[in-house]
Amino acid sequence: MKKVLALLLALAMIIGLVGCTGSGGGSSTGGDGGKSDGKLDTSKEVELVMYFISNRPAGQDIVDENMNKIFKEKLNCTLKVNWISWSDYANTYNLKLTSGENIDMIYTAGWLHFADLAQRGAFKELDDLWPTYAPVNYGKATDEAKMQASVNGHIYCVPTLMATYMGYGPTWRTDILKGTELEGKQLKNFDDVEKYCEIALQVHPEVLPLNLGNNGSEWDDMYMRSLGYFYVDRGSGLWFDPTEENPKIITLYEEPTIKEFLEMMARWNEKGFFSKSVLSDTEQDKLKKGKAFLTVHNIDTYSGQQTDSNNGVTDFQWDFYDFNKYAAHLPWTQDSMAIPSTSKNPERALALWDLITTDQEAFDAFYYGIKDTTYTLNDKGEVTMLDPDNYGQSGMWAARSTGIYRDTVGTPQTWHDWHKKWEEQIAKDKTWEQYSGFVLNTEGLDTEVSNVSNVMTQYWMPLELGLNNNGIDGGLEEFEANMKTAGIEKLRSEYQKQLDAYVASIKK
Amino acid sequence: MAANTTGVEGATKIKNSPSSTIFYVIAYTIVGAMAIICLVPFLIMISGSFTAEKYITFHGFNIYPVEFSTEAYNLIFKTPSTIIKAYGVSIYVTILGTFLGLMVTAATAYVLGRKDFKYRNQFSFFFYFTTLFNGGMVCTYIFFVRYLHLNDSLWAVILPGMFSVFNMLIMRTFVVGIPTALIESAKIDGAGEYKIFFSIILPLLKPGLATIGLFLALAYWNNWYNAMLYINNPDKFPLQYMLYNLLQKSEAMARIAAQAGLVVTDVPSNSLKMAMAVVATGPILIVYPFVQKYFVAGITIGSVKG
Amino acid sequence: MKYLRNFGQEFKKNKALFSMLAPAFILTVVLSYIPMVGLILAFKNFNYGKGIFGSKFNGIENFRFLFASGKGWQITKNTILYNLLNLVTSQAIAILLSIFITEIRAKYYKKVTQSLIFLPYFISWVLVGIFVFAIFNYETGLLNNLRKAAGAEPYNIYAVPGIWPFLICAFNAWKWSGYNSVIYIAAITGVDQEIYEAAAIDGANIFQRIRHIMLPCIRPTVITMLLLQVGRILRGDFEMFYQIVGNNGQLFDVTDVIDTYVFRSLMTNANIGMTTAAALYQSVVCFVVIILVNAIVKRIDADYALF
Repeated sequence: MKKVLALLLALAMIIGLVGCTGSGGGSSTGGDGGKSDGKLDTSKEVELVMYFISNRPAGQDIVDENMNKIFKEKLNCTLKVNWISWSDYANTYNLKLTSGENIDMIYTAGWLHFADLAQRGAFKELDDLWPTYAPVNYGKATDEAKMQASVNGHIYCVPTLMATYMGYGPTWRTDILKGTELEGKQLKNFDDVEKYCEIALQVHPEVLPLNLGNNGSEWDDMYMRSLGYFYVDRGSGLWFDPTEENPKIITLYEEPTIKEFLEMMARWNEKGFFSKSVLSDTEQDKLKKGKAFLTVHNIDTYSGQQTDSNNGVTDFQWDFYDFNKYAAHLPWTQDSMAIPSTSKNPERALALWDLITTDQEAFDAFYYGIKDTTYTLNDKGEVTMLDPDNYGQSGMWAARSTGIYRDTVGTPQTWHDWHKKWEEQIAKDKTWEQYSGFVLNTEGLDTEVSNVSNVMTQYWMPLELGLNNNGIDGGLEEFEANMKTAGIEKLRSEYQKQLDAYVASIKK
Repeated sequence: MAANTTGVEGATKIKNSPSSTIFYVIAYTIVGAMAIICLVPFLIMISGSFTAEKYITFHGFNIYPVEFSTEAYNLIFKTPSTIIKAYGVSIYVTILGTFLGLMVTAATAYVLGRKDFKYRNQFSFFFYFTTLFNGGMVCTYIFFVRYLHLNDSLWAVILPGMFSVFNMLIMRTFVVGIPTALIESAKIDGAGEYKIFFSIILPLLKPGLATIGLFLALAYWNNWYNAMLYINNPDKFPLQYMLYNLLQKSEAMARIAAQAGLVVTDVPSNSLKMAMAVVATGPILIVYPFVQKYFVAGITIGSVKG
Repeated sequence: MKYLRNFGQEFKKNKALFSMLAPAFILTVVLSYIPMVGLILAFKNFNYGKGIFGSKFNGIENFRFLFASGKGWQITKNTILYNLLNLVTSQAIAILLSIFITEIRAKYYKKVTQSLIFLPYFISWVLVGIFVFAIFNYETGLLNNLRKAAGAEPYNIYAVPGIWPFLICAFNAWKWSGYNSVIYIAAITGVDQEIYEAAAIDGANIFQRIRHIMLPCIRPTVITMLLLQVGRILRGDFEMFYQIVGNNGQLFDVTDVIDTYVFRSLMTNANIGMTTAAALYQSVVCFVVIILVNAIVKRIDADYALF
């Protein structure tokens, strides 16, 4: 029996060795024929394949046809868009990059492990290709963006050209507060949050004061940011104080006032601001349904809700306040386009990307579809999607750039005001902004990163929400002990080295 | 075939001692209670699909729709062609896959159930081994896409489900139950192996075929995983994949929203999830009563022999 | 070589039988054995550009995340205990149901109940997850509404991890009993009806019939089912655990199984080697367990062994 088995296995393995020779093996630079004289050869028509994460809209066909007319005329190419749907990305995004399938452009971002993938050879190095074949785009990209796009000293993606900001804070419903003592007042700190929630709970007991769910809370982030800390890695709970000369990385349990924060959260839990079973609550759209009063997130959450209200989708009124101590841009790489190492036409892909991200007509056709069929514009140039169920906006967020991207009709003025304010603050005070070029390299740390993140989920999340059975002191002890076993000190010392090197580089 | 109609039912009519009365009371009660426990969530699902989302948000689920609404279904059938195509794909895959799978499973189980087949243990192990070890998603995916060119082909959905070792081993227990003497006597009568298999074994395997056929059909109908990996063309999406997409979307979006600054929009509502589940389950429910008669009736080897 | 010759002779003699095995054999080689090459990824630092064979070996680095956190033993233990618990409960309930259902004489009652117990199979775990929250959540859950109506204090079930293994086990049994009972009902129906008649004429009462006819005739099926489940002893039903427990860290000590732990770990990187390593760990343990159990079964009665 053993012999026949061995034989069969050997047979299978041999077939396997012949058959399954992995992906690409392709060269990491160059392209077809090595025409690196900087001139794009468009004599041959090509079909470029793009992947991003979204669900395919029902009305995509006519949009494709329309945009490809433009692309064909300008660059003698057509674009085939493929989707990795929301539900699948965790399973299939990496797979698409292994298979050797011809993909010319793919959406990437930190949450899709851009740096890890780049370090593992999934993307083409763009040091020369980007400036050569997408010169307009390259010219518009900031130096920080180029730093953020670099892994081990080489550029591996083209970041978005749209400025976004770190601004973070509560978004709350003002209509609920009508007729109470808080009507028309501005919420400004954590004490206010508590007061506002109490009042909201009194007038509308059926509405949960805080919007929380099974993904845990963002209040810990908010607390640390409001104290002026800048994050090294949120998933590991590591922060540093950027006002220090040589900042030292600290963990959450080392922040001296963390107990006060935990006591506050436990009190909020006691007062019924959120469900005692919150970590099993999978309902994700409480704001839109009118089931929650206040959430803490970025300003886009606010503007999304208020735009809905301005357009008559909901009848709630909202306001927003930034709790951060300093202002800074979000990393430009939070939406990026990368060229997989298997791409056969990286030059044309970059040229097309240059067109889409810098040419209004091409961008409109790619992002919004066909004027007066899928979208309309008002006299301010703001956009309304006509039938979002059939075709909403594109899911390739990396294509947006400031100046070309259109606001949705109904975007509140407050949104514009905050953006102006942040730009002014950044110009004055670079406490945070100077660190925005700092990118972690987690090479060789996979085990520690994943173990620490597991400890955060298992111990920190319940503790933070006042759900720990051992109380705050016991919970903190347990959390710290488990973080140490998981290897937080190794992470910290590795990250500290990288941070020190970065500090040295910006001081030069 | 007269024995068929009496069967178990006929037999139980003969004696009715007090202890067996107690047995029947218990049997009827437990089975009935179990049936209710199984039915209620299903009713809640259907009722949820017909309830206005606002009601669910603030009052939760109910066994009947308190605030009736067909909004969820209107949304699903807004582009009916998508759903109709998906039905077509699901039905095609299920029928073809079940038929092929049943043939392969029965033939394999028959050979491995034959006590006179010398290598039955070796082959059983050869098959069983694959349930313990598999090459993992990456290599399987690369092999399917690059070498078998199954990308966007419905065969990528059909082939992997055709032969399940689990089904085959269950089928084998049915084969083992068939007396060896039957095969021997057929051989003496001069029947070839194929003839024995098709005209003697298969009819005797009816309950087994019904069971495995049902399992195959359900597995094909419910499979979204292979479609997720290999199918890009929306015209080839099976129904369950669309359901899966809808059910998982909100979870995935919320996870990203927490990690990156993404704003969660267009989250499918609970009523929409329920409605899609109803739409995706509907047709396969009809299969069960159809198969059921093979379990109720039973077989009689005597009648085949005679 | 002698072995091969024997095989050749046997092949010639039983060409027809071998030809019946051929389709399954080919499917298994192509779809399962060839991709098994991918297992070497467990020992490699995967590089997307270089592919499976071009990537560098990195020893047992990929396995480290399972054990370096100190959770390896706990999740292994949880996985095994859940599997044993689920194995016993869902099979026992299925066997009981199948005996009851075959014995029930009222035709419509029988048909209807038999169909109804199958329904949970069709309700996906995502929806079960939604229902679980609707029943058990502290503020508006059905359970606490009933308790409040009865004048009792609401009960925070999410703060009591000890209850969850039983809840999960109950949901698992609820989901699978109907499905498994079909196998047993078919096995009972598959028995020659003449035996039943003979027994009835001999005056056997219901308990005698169950003990002496039904149980022996489903024994091969029961043993096969048990063996098949034992062969999965280190694999958890990811969807079930993930949808019922999700990210609720309060419950992880008693609900975290290998599959959920691996899923969460891999949300943090793009290291495919780690997934493969975890799968290989599960495979090897399952392999050792099933070889042992199968050998024991073979000792007792060779007919019931899987291979």
